[in-house]
Amino acid sequence: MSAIIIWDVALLITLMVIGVPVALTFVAAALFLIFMGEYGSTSFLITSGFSKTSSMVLLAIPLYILAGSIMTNGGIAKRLLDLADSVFGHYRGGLGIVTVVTTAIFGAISGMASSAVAAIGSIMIPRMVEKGYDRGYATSLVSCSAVLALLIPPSATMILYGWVTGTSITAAFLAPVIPAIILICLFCFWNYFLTRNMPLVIEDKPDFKTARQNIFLKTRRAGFGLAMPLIILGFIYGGVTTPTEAAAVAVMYALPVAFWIYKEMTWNSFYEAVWKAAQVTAVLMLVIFCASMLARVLTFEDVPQQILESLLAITDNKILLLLLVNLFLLLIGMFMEDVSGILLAAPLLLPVMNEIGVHPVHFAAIIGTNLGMGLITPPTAPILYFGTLIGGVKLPQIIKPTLVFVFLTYLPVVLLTTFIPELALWLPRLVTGL
Amino acid sequence: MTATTLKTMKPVSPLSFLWQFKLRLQRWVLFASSITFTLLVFVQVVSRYIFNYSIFGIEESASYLAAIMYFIGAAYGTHVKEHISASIVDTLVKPGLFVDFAHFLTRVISTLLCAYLCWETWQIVQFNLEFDTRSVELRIPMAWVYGGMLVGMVLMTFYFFIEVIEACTDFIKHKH
Repeated sequence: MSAIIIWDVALLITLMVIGVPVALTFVAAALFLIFMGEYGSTSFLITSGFSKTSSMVLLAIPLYILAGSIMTNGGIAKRLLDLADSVFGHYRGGLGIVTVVTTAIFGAISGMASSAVAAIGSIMIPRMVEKGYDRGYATSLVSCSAVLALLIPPSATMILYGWVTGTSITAAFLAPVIPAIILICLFCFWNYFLTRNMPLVIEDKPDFKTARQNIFLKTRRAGFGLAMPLIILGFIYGGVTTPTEAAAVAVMYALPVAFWIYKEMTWNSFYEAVWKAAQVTAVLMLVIFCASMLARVLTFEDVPQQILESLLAITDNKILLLLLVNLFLLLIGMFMEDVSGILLAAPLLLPVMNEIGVHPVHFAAIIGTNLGMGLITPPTAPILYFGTLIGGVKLPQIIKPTLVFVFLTYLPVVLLTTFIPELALWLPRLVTGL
Repeated sequence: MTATTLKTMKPVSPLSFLWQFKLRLQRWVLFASSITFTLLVFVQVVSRYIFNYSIFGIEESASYLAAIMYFIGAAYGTHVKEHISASIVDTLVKPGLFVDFAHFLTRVISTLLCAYLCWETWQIVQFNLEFDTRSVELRIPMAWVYGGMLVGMVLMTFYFFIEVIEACTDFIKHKH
């Protein structure tokens, strides 16, 4: 790889580390390459960013975020928690399972890990502490399981992956589903072991009839929220609408549910939910805009080909190459959030994946699980830090359980997803006939 | 409004009023544009799948409106300091002179980079005005679209510049 590219990467990382907003670090890296290269004009930077961000496919992201925001403000989180509590709440470590399952379902509705931490964490962490769970452990569980939002469809990360690599978004949505289910199972398993020595208060188990009635009642209350991801996926996989159109349908569905069925949304909270969702989207889109500028320059500089040649020069063994790619993705995930990570890593590594025969849909699952693990792996770990704010704990209090989840939950799933392609490909093949 | 409320109300300076008005206007733009492009896409779904009729230019207008919204929203994100950042300095180093200097430096770099984006976009607005470039479907003047983006970028630069002043003040305070 050329020295200029290495200097450019060093500049990018330095600016990120000292705290320049990620979007602007991409601009700086693009400008560095332009000034060091032989470019007559720089006017193509803005137009290339604009042509990418004004895409109809990307409009799905603000619409999904808006639908999730309306549902969250409409009180879906509490209803989902009550439902999961009625099913798992009476078992030892049950509240931990409630947290994991609810976060996974909530992720499907909101599509944002940070929303899941805020909505589920603010209700669940005090409830878990009250029932004898360690506060640091509760915060760690909420933060680590919130990353499931990136993997359960419809996920903004997978929309971006599909858009940036030209892969079918409907197939990319389904690729990380089985790895996500394995993650949920592993979370529940380790939750049981990690809470063994905690002085948990376990409620008496009701008789079968009462339990059944309770579950039915709670399902009915949460039903309208639960239906939203099903409607979205039904519209997409039924071939009725595109993902963007399904997202608009989801917004129009969420409105009457929040206003008139759950009756928890007022005009003021609606106004606030909409503009705040727009602001969150805008910040993400600025990253996409600036990353598109950098991506254009990197393509001019032939960087994907250079990375491919450099990796193949190290080894041509598929297993070793996949391990190297995993290491690279983990490092990216440790320093960047998922959106920037996808935008930077996916187009750069896709030629490598094609060369060693990894299907782009399989790569969607690999990149999703890796970047998800990065979100909770220090030093950057944005979701973990956000979790500490919601849980009211210091970082050292949550490090131990977090490391258990990273090494014994995420890492095995990353490796399984990487080396067993069927985990990622089976469902997309079944549904979309890949 | 009662007499007591009037007495207890603090006088609002014109500058503060303008500042608040600008923020309120930004929030309204975010709200209105989000609702509009959602409705546009939804109307397209209804017309296409129920009435078998595709409304011409709806996708173009929705995506251009969204593009303007992204920049107005990103500017608001700068105001509330919610830009995506991967800073390790704040995590690993204790608050002090070094952290203050890093904050000052990052704000200066951010302001300069935003100013560069403004300048580039301004060039494009001028080009589009000169050649009266229009969109493919609805013939929307592209200068309007790029102009909307430019407004967002100028606001973003302005907010970053205010952060430079704040960071500079913090740095000087810490030094003494």
